[in-house]
Amino acid sequence: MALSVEGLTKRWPDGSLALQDISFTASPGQIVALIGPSGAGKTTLLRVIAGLEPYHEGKLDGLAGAVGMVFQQPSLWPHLTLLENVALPMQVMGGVQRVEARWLAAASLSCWGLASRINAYPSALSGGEQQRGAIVRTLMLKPEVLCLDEITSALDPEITSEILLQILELKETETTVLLSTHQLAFARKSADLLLFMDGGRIFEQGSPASVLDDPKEHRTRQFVTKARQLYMGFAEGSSGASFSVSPSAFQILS
Amino acid sequence: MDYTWDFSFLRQFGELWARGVYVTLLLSVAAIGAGTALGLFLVFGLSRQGTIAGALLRIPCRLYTDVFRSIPALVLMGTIYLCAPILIGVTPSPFQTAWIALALNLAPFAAEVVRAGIDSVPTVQYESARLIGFRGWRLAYYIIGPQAFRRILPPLVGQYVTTLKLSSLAATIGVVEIWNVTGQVVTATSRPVESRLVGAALYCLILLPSLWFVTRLEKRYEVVGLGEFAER
Repeated sequence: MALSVEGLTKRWPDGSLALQDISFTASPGQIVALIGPSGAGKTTLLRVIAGLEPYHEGKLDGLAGAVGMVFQQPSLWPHLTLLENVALPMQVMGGVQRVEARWLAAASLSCWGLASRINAYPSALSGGEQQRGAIVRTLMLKPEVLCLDEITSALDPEITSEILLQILELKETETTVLLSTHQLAFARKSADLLLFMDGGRIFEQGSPASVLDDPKEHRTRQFVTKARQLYMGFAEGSSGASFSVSPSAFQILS
Repeated sequence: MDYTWDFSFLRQFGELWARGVYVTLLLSVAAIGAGTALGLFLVFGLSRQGTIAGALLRIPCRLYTDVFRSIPALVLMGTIYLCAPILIGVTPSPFQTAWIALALNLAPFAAEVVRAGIDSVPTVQYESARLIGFRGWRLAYYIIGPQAFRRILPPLVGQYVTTLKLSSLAATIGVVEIWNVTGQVVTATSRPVESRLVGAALYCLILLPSLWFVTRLEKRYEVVGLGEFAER
């Protein structure tokens, strides 16, 4: 069932708008990328869709099945091993036998390159391993919609690209993936729909190519230009040319 | 120093010391049990995890916690012992008085320790568990409880140790526990130095093993490790 968000509005307790008239639709298997500066409302939107926050106006459709969410912060349960983290929900909620749950968990973890780490506690795992573990744990629910909230923001580029490539493979599972990210290159290459958000509203949405290469709105153009400057700046810097990017360009990395 | 040590009285008063140790242990265990139970009740009123607390409960719990944390145990004991007969017409035995006073004294400290342990579990732990389907007792038993327990155990045992040490105050109202026995032996033998050293040694005898046990427990949980999560 397609995910459809219509006129979604949310206010903070002090009355200020957290989300303002958010509308978009996504079909099963699509990847929706949310981009925009910090504080734009990306996280809030994902939390509302996941059911962690209430909203005040508008309609959310297509959330009949499970909604999964992976957070920016590490969220594996620290008192359980990686294998137990993935197996426990199946045992407790799914009524799956312990042996079977563990076997399924181990198989899924292996698919994500974690076979050798299944008996490690989260504190012994790297940031990338923790995030992959959290994704696997969420995927065991077979979510119809999967919200990924800047899951790679604390990771090095190598791990980031590895994880993002694995997310691409989810396209085959009919899971609708909503991800907020600062990895514009990834968003451009793999997203089916790109939303540019700022100040709690969607300024522009469409195919990644149309939004990123030919932004209609001034605010989008500003953001994309800064992002481009940043990457071009680095390229020039590495080849020895002058490095001239305004300090505000770095804000998008935060 | 030409003090002549003489511990020969020990044989004569062995039974009395044993009784003192027994009463100290009994009083402490009873106070710890009642104090913890009352403390856990207070936690329901204090925790910021709103699911278990109502505002109605919060105010009296907060008030009790703060007031009773600021009354010294000795003052509490003396007040109950002397005022209960006048105010409510009930004359509790010295043991009951000490038991109630120590429990009332422990409860708010135990409550704060438990509350802090529960509240220190990061929100993302609750949210990730809820999204995966853990609710109610399952959430508490499988996800939050084990994490909170590890944080609570060391400081809670610290409070228990304090309660056991405070039980010596019961000597002042005539409960025949270690320190009261010590006083009796001092009077009977005129060996104040030896008697008091024995009294102090008995407290060590009880508490040192429990402290070592807790250190071992902490070590064991360290392996499991909350690791970097502990700082969040």
